[in-house]
Amino acid sequence: MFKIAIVSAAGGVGRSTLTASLATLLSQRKIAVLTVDFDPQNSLSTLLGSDEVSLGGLLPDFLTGKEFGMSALVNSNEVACLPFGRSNEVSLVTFEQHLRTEPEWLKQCIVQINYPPGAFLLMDTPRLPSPYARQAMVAADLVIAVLAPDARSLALLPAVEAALTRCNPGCQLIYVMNGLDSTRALQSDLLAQFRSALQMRLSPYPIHRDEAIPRAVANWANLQSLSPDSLVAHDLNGLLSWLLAGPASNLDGRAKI
Amino acid sequence: MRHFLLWVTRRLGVFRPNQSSLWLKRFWLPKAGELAEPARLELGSRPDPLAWLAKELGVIDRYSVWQWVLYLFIYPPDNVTHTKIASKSTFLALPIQIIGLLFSMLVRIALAGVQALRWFWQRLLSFLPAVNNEAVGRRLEGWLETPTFRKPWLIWLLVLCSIFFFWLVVTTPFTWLGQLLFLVCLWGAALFMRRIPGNLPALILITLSVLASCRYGWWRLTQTIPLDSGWETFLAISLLLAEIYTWIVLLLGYVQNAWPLKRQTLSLPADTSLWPTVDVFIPTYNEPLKVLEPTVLAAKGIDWPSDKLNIYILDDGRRDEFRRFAEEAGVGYIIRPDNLHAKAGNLNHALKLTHGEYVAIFDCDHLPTSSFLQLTMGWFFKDKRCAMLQTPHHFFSPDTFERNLGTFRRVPNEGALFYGLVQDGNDFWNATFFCGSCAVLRRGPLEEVGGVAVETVTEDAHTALKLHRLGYTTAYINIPLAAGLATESLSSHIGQRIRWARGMAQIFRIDNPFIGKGLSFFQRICYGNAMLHFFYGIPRLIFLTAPLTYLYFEVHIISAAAAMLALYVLPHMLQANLANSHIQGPHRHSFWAEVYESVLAWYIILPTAVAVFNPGAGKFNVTAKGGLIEKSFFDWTISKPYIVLATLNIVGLSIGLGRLFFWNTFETGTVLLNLSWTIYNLLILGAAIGVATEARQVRVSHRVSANLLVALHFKDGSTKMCRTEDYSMTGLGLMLDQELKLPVKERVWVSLWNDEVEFAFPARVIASHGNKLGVQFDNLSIEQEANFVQCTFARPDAWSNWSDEQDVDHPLNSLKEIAIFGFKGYRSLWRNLGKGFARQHQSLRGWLGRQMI
Repeated sequence: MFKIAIVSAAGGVGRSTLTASLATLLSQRKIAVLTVDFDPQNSLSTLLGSDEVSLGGLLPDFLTGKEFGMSALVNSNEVACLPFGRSNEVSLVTFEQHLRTEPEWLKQCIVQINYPPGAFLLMDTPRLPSPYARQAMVAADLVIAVLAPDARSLALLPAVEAALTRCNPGCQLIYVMNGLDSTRALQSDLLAQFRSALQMRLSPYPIHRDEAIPRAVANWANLQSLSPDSLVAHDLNGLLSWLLAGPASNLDGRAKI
Repeated sequence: MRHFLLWVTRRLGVFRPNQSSLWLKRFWLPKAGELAEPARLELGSRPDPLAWLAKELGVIDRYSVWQWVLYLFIYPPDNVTHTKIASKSTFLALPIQIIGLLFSMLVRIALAGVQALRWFWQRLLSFLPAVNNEAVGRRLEGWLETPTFRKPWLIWLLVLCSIFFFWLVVTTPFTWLGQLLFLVCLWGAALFMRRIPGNLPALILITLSVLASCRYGWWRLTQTIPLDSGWETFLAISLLLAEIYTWIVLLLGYVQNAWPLKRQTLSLPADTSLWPTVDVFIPTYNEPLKVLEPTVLAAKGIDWPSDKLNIYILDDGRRDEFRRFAEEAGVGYIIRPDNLHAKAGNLNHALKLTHGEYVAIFDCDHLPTSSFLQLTMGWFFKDKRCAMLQTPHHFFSPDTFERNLGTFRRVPNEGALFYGLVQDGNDFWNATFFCGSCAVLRRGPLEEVGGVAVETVTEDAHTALKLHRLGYTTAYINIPLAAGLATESLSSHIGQRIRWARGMAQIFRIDNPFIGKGLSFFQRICYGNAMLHFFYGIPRLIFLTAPLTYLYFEVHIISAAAAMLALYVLPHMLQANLANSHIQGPHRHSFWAEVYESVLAWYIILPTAVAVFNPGAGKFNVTAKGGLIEKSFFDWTISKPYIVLATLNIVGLSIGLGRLFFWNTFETGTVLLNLSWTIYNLLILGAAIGVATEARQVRVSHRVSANLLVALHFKDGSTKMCRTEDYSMTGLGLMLDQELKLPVKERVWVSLWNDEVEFAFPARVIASHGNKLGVQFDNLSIEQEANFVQCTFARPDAWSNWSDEQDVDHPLNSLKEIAIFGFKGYRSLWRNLGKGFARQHQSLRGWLGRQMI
């Protein structure tokens, strides 16, 4: 299994949306995919088409001592999603305490999952610094850092790498620009700056801001079938092909397919 | 005059021109006895199958085509009566329906014959083993590499043997049967050879062609010159000289293009600090800013260390607008007080003010691609004596031939031969010419020869000649790395070619490549051919009128039996055509050279002649580009020579028909030969007339068709991916997957990609039909324009697949196509003639009306 953690240093850059979009696209390309919502916001299942906020999930399972992954849902696109589940302040404090004492908890849980080889596991996380994101990075084979085309993301650029070297030094890190509006000169300039700073580690396919995504979510529809000729669909396809050909090609999980 | 008329009428067989009944008798009631006594040629005592056939069928006059038709297809065989019926009147007496029926039958039979022949040919081919032409080509190339051929004594032996046999083949007289066999053998060999790709088969075809042409030339020189009357001899010698000229140019061309070098690009050292400084010169004189602007923006985007690249606009028009633009774009701006020596002087002036180690020159309408310097400079590192590297002049707008005949991107244009083949051929002999634009020169050698040559109006070729004389080398890379606009009208095209012709003639006169120091034998041949090429004016006119001397005046300028002439001239023409089709195939389709030359022939005679006798005369004329032709029109002024020639040929054709059926039935072969020559000339002239019908050209900026990825951003934040159909400096033509209706004037953004970097441009919808969308840019800033140029015109691969969709050369198809263009040309002439008369009629009526009041 090939494990990807989707992280970011800045908030609101569209991690969950990107996770959901990538998962749907992977499944469309006949690659088995499981998403883990490791974010107390518990919004990934909604983005993947669940019509109400999931009550069950990995946190309630943990608290009730159930096996990890029992409350996973599967949507009509055959994307499996393990929601975070309903939480409250008390339960979160307990859980986070547990995560701090056992930094490899998620990693060990994932090992137990019986999943076909060559499958993808996408982990959505809250923004850094956070124990959830750290757990996901420890468990991951590849970390995707999501950037927004703004000065904040540019300023926080070293944060992701620093966090990763602390918890999982050997792990591969790539950056993806999300929510780009190329009609704005400032954003294009910033993209150029990111490009010169990150070089080959930045995906050549920035994901554009596009009405097609909120429209697809609102209609509980698949982006690729609702607006196949939208720019964002093109971007995601490009990003995934780039991932499969480059960063995700030389890893053990992929080699088995 | 009177004597001439009397002579003409006598020739026509009317001995008392003032007696009208004689004229009537002559033309309407021809009687065999009144015509000159036919001097029939008998083919010795050899049994003549034709005579036997004629006897069996009952054909009385076997030199009459009509009789053959009648007896073969109309009279039943048992009805053969040897009565002396006037066969023509019988034929005319038949009802029109039967004639129609007969005609359609004839056509059917002919078609069936063609089918049968084709079937037979296919059967024949199926018996032969299949040949993998590619493999044969490779093996032939392999032979060249074998060391067996490297022994000097063997080579000399082979050369001596070849010369002996060559002499034998060229000079041995044959009977008609022998010559026919010679034709068939050579033709068969060539038909086989032409299927094999590669250079060696081309050389073999060249050898066959040289054999056939030399044999024809020998026979023509030794046996066919009439030496009886002065008048005939004069015409005969003119034709002979014209033929000798084409023969020389053909042979020189073979040498020139024997082994096209096809130079590859070389990579540069990885360390950019070793890269030299380059000055880019963009000379301009009277071109509008909108032509220059994209060129400068494209030049700014050339991929080269920015501290080592300086761009200069050399403005001989000294315009403020240009100065402001140069400031805005951040490029140099150089002017001079006078316009001495035009472009050459302009460049030389700038040379004095700049210091780059290399100079790249672009005409103001030639947009360089961003990879221009990276792909060209490598050779200067490898070859330290290399003084100049030329790349092709590529045109993304149709030239006047392509536009008026509708052959854009389908038939290789006039320049394709030079840049596709001739320069590559020159390169092998180290004789690549400088072509004035899209080239890089090393400053040192250029200054050594005193800058760009100013003595002639083709300063470019002359500069290269001077460099070669000093022992420098030049190089050619046949990859289009810059593109520009073709001349927009026939008159400006002709103007440009006149300049080239004059310049080449000037060089031929004042700095003749055949004499003087410093050149190798083959360099002399390459330069010599390039210059001689421009003297085709008079020979071409001679060929266009030669058959008329017989058709009008019955002057036999070639003293030989028609059949014999055909047997000698056919291998010469066939082999030359097949060889050239193999060598030039992708760059010049068969027979198109005739069209290109015929259009210019008349116009370059005077300039070349003047230049030869007085090289100082004449001034530099600038070629106008980037204009528009608002309305289709017929260029009466330019087309005058073609119309006169065509009229002469049409009259000749009708006289010829008369000769064929009535007056010269004793030499049907000669008449037929001259008639077919005239018809061929008429077709070529028709195509030339077609070129003079200027098609409408409304777009101010030319659209380049291309399939580029585009993203459309709409106001509501949604997007759509699509592809371009074409692009221009002002807008895009887009094609979407689905139908999309957008209101005109709607604001959108369009994104284009340059490599991986995306650029978005504001635009407005100007047309929306089905899944097609036209958008026009909305006030782009200069930076946006530069980005747009980099995404489109200056892409490294922008022009690399340009001729992929071009038709392959099939000589017969090509001939058919030109024939069709010929017919269309006459149709257009006819229509425009009608229009012209109507206009005159109207103006006359208007004038009359005014007089009445």
